Amino acid sequence: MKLETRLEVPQRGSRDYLQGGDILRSIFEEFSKHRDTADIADCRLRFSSLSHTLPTLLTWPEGEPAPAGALSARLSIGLRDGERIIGGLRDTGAPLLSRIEGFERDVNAVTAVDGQTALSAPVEGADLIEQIVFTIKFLHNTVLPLKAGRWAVVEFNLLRYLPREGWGSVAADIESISGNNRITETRVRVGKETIGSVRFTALV
Amino acid sequence: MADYKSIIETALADAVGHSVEISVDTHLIQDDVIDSLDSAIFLLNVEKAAGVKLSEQDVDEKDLFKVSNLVAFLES
Repeated sequence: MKLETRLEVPQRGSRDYLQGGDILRSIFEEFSKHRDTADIADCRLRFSSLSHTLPTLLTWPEGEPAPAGALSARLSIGLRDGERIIGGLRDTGAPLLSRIEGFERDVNAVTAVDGQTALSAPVEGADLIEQIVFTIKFLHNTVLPLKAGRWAVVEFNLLRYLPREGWGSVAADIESISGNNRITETRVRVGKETIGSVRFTALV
Repeated sequence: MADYKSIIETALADAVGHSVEISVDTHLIQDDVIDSLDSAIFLLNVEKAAGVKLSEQDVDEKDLFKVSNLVAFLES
């Protein structure tokens, strides 16, 4: 599946940069215009740099060469029929289109439910990807020593596609913290099922 | 003894998304092999594979983005 299309990313909250969750959701929405998202078996999205502008999504079949030019993120989507779609993001320089205020306040509603290693995030109005990001950010800002930095997604490694609705509570456990406290790997569970991991990095 | 150069190559390939040819003389930052976000993932990959922790002080003072320095550190 070959695509080259500018993503429309409605940014939520008062951040001045695109959050990984915003982009992942937009990728799934763009994908849904061409294939059924139920076809997605797994997904890996890795950022090489953070962007303040809208990206172009490029995809190409596995085995074909990547398009020329620098990519700010790399994407790998596995389909249930065995096909794998490779892709990436390219910065366009185009400004963000829209902003939805109010989420920063809602994030404060996240509460710890299992000591300091797991959280549940019943943030009203947020979709599942946002719940995951909110939960992990709250967890990081609560339990890790580096509180001055902004924690940002550097990689989603999802073992299965995330349902749009009908999911259970979100919980996260930090499995690895680098020796410099600048990057973590967090296992994510939805309901009782582990659905993958997210790597966060601290921007200072 | 573990093959630390192989560990570094595997950690590097995962961080940048493709295999990269390196030598002991390669400096991963100065030679533009990895950027800042990739470098964070690279360090975490090395730590997990080698069972060590790489503090910010060690990375800076011992210049652990130079392959020869990182191999020597892991062997010590």
